[in-house]
Amino acid sequence: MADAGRLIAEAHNNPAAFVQLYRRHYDAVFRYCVHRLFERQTAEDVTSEVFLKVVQNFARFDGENEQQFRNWLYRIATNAVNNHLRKTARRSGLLQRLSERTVHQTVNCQRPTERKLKLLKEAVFGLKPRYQTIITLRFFENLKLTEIAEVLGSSPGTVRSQLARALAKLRRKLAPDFTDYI
Amino acid sequence: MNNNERQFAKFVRGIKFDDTPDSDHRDQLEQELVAALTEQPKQEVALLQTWRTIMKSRIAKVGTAAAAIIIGGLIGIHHLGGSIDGASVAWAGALKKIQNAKTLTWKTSFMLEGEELWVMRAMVLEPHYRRFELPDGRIWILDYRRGKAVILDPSNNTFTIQSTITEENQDIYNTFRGFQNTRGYSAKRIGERQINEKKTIGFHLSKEDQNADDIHIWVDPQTQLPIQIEGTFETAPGRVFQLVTTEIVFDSELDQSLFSLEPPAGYERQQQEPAPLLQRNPELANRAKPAARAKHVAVVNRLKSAANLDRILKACRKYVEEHNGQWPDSLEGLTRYGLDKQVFLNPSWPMREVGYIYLKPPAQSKDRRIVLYEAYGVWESGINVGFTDYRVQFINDESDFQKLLGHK
Repeated sequence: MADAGRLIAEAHNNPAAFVQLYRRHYDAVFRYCVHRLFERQTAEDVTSEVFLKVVQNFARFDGENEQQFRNWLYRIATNAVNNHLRKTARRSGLLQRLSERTVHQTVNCQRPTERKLKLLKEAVFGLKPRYQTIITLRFFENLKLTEIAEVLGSSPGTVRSQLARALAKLRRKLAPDFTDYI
Repeated sequence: MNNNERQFAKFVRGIKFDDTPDSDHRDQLEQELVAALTEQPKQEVALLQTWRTIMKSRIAKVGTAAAAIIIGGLIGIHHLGGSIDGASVAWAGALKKIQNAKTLTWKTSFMLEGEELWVMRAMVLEPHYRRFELPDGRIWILDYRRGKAVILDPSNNTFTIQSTITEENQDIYNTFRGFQNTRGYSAKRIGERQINEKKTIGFHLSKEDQNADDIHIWVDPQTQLPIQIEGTFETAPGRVFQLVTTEIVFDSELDQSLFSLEPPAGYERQQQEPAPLLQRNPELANRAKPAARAKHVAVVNRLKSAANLDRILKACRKYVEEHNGQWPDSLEGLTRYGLDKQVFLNPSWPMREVGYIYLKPPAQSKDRRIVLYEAYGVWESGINVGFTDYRVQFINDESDFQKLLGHK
């Protein structure tokens, strides 16, 4: 981790070090965006937006280790994803349905999986953005509650209760369709 | 992990996401970041992602989006406070006319940096048919009832067939419902304009969210129908493109044969998937490049300039700490804090002797005020501004900037 700390310090003045940091974290940011947006092309666009914002604001990042950097990235990515969802929500359900179709096209391997994905997307999009973030960070990015709390600038206790509420809502929506979720 | 969490984890475990990162995108973005971080772009940068999006999009998606803008814009005016003339009865008539329209035609121009890159013509024959005429001569005809589309290519007398079109997306009037449920929009009148010798009334639709896209609609005050619709979309910071929709005609006579899925005699069927527009037309892609690159350079310069201001402010902070809260009289003395001369030049205007204007604030000032900003002649998309809290902010609106300066 000492190496990672040095890398962050170096990245403030050395573009090569910054690029190294970028390479280490690109995949995680992209995956987080895909898991939030359920659509890879949009996720790539939002990932680009995230890293351009990182370049713009890196001088203000005062964390010292890579975990703090990762949490900062998730925070920027969360804002970018939420902004994107807010923007697209108003362009009628039309484009959203088109993107659903894209998801279908990309996962057309097994019907039950496809159906599961579609229902999961609908259920997750029915949650508040904060709950969506918590669900994604917990179950797709495998962050601990304390780490999620750091990303969200909240306490682990609050995150725990919000996670429970989010799961209860998902359960209500998904349980009628899937016996393996009961 | 409690029981609830375990059950949900089990539920999602079997779901397959298409989440493998694409190394092309990773490399392309890396180039953009490197260009932003270093003095000069080392390699030619890739096209804007906007263009990547268009390249990858099926034309039906783009066309349907244009229809959504037309209808959605009208709904926005009516429902969100910007009534055309207050005559809701007249408007209701226009709305009914739109809803009952059997055909709709329009032309959409895709603009980048004020340059028209390409034009698409579209026709709708309710309830099931769409026809899109692309700038490269190809024609897409879609029949949503049959879930089928034919793509004609007159340049080599070939056609392809797609049979994966689904019904659910296609009623353009469904977009009414989508926009009616939208919150946070505001619509305001923006005056009048002559378009093709016809008086029109303009409306600006925007969302409270400052990052939201903008839509301008120019309406015929007599018929209440749209004459021109301009949508500006920012897909990422500094990445802006414009869709201008004109020649919007409801209920014109359209021959059913325009929507026939039967290819003309002599056309040969091709099996492969039709190529996206720009991929198939390098000339169009090349037209997009210079403007796209210019925009990229502008974004890079904006970032570099913000970094300059940040470095100058850091030096100011050291100076203030060493001088009992006093700010320097000018920027000249700051070179002793390790700043080179280059940092005082605005990368957008490297030939200007004065890159940044410095306003010395009173000592120990508690107010957040402007101390540094980019020297500018004509206000364009905005400038970077430095404040007494040592932060840098990009300000788009000149009147906001003037207010912060205390000039208004």
